[in-house]
Amino acid sequence: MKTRKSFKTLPYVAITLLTVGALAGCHRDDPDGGISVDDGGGTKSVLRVKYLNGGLRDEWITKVCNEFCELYKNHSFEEGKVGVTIVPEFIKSNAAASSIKNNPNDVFWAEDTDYSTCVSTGQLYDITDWLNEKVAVGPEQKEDQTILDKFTDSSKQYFAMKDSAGKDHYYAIPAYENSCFLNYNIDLFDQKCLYFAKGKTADGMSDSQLNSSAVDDLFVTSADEERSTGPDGVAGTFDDGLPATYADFHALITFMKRSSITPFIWKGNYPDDLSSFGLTAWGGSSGAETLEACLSLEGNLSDLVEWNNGSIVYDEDGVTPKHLDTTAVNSENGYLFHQSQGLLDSLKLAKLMLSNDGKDKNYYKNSMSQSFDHLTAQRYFLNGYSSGVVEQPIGILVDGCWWNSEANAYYQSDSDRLSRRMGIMPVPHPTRAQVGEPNVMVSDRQSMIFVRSTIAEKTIPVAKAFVQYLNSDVAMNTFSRYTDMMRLMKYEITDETLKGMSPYGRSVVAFSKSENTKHVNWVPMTDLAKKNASLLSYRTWGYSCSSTDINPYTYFAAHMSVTPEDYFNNVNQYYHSNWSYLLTK
Amino acid sequence: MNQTLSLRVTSNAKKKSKAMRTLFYVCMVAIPVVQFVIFYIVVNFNSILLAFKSYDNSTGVVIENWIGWGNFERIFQIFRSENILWIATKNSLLYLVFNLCVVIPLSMLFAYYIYRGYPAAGFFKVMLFLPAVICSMVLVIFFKEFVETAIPELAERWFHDDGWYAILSSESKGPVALMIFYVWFLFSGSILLYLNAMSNIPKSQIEAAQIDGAGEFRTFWRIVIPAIWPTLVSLIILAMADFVANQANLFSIYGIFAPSWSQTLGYYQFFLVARYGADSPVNYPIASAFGLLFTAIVAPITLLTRHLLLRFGPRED
Repeated sequence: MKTRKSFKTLPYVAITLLTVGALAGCHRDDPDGGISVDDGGGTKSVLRVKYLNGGLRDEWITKVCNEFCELYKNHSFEEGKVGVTIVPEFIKSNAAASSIKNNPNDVFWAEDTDYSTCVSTGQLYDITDWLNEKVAVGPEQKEDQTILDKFTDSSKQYFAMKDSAGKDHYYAIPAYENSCFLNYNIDLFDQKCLYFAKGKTADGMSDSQLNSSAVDDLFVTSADEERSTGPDGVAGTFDDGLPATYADFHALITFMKRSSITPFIWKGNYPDDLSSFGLTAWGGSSGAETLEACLSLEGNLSDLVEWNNGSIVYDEDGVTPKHLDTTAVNSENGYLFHQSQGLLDSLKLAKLMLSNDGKDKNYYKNSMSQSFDHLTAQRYFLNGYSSGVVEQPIGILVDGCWWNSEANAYYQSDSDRLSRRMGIMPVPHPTRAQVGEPNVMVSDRQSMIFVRSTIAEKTIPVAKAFVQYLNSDVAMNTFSRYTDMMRLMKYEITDETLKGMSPYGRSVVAFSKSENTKHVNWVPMTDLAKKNASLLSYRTWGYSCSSTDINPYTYFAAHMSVTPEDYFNNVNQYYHSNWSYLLTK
Repeated sequence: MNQTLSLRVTSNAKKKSKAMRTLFYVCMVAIPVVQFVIFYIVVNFNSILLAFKSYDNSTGVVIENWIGWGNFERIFQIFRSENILWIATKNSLLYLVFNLCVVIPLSMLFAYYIYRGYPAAGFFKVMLFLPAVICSMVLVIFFKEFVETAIPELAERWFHDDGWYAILSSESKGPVALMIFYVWFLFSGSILLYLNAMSNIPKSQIEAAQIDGAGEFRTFWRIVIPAIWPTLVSLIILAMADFVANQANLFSIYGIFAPSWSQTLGYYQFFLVARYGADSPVNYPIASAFGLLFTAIVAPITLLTRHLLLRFGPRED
């Protein structure tokens, strides 16, 4: 009887224990998440930093963290403690917007985390005051500028959230500048003399000539021979000898193929980089102002193609599109953005990169394969031919400017990385008349630095000091030195930093800092645009001809007979038909 | 008097026993019921409401507005102005038909073969179960490497044909490859269920049928199928109910970059949200409306099919 009673009681006890255990798991008192920390036996303040350790690697941030700890080793942030210990979480995982508040880390460097979602759900700490103070580079030393002074105008507009009194509040700081380029192998170009000779251009040549040996005469025959002025039209600059126009680019592709070089390679599994490059090409043709008008959903555009009844309207020659007068475009007629001549030009460039004769591919055979990832593409670009993996050397890699940091492991050594010459090829201009117009650098991936809203009171001073130091000129130079990239902030690169960067990194700096380069930060710039951030996504805005056909490169590769004009018409048909549904007012 | 007292004691004891049994039952089911209410009913109810709202967080504050049928209008607009939803519906139907007409019959046949212990049954058992055992991402990676690297290289080396690169991006070759993977992937789970159902058939019935001169096919058709009919109906119903949600492994293979010719309704619904970034809930309302609309179409059809199959299907007697 007693035994039977015990057995009956057992399930109740088990259920009670289970329930209590489940409920107890809902709350966590320990902000450290149960992780033990070496804080000098409780004598130092502790700061937890989460950094997405992807292609940018973690050498730079480890160095910055060590420098910060060294600077503040004798400083007291909280009573009873001297100095700082940083607990790093430098792994390749991002912080999901919905769980930042509950994350044990204090300061975050994250990518692809939606800023509006984070702010609206109260995940982020208000760092407005931190941004408005002079940047501290030690307990006693400050820079002349504030962090906000270093923001670009577009960043100021995007990151500012207004409160009910109309005052701006900031919850994050932009991290790095990222653009997708034509990255070319300078050593290979030198070796194979792939530069246009002085005074030579392919302008005026017919398509059949551009696909033939007739292009051979346009190129230098030795590395010392004088080169053409390049896309900027100025002799003696970094782009001398590079294709200045689309016709030149066509000739270069043919010449490369005739020289047994595969012109292009890119990753096949995620074609986003191609769309990003497309935006750069669009901006290169139309100008940064056109892209900024898109991002504001308003502007006066002067390069709109006349488009009617589903197709481009041509001049009497049947070849040249007619153009509209300068037109005010806004939310009511926003479908007109896609009638931009620059968009059509970028589609022509895309088609040219894929195939210049509609049959032979200009890209590495696996570049449209789902299993062909970015690391393999980079490895083949750097070492594929020398290691015998690919049959021909590859001339140009289409990838983001982070590629060189990502590919670090494929260099034989650090001296190999510092001696091999890769560089950014400026996007050629559609016509000779546009030579000399500014390059456009479109930075479209979201990356930012922020602090969780539930940070402990005692940790705030440390976090503030660290965030400020992270955005000091010293730390930003450290970032550039190790990653060969630029922060999305205004700062100067020192000579010492340049010396430590690879030739590719110096190319990025030269391109970014050039007076002939305009920067476009692909973020919505007005309230209406912010409301339509999903419509303006870099992935879909430029090239959607349906809700799922969003990439012209993959579309052209799968449908070789489709012309740039056909695709342009499809894009405009889509936006014209659906604008009232796509736009949120 | 003693009898009345005795009856009262017995009655009280019975009531107490019943009360204790009820208490025990409530304690056992309380947690799962609460879990079901929170994570199924409340969440789905919220999703239903979301289909009639708009969501905006661009000002740093969440603003949800009631917009009535606005999201549904947008879906109908997509039907009118684009092909994608028609293509996705066609693809979803194709996967359903393949499931019903190829996977289910072949699974049953293979399960019967293994059940009967014919030669190499053990080998088939292991090979066909592998997709269920191995992590699905491993299978996908293997499949992609095989289709996108091995096959093109072999075709180029042996047949001097370089037209086999990027099979999964090809509108002509891609659908075949995807369907082969889909069938292979589905096989394992189905066979396990059929085998389990077949194992409940008394061996004596099979032996009796064979003594009476029934061949293998007749045995399979007249004895095995009626015996496993409820299992078969369950799988058919599951396949039909999955019509809208079925992504056909497209996300595993392509991420968010599945070509439009390959998309299914399930993938498109996911794509509506994912293409703008996983963190942003801005497009959740239209995805919710999408799910609701197709559920309203598919659910009655599925229930009707179940009713008809159970009513008019074969019986063991």
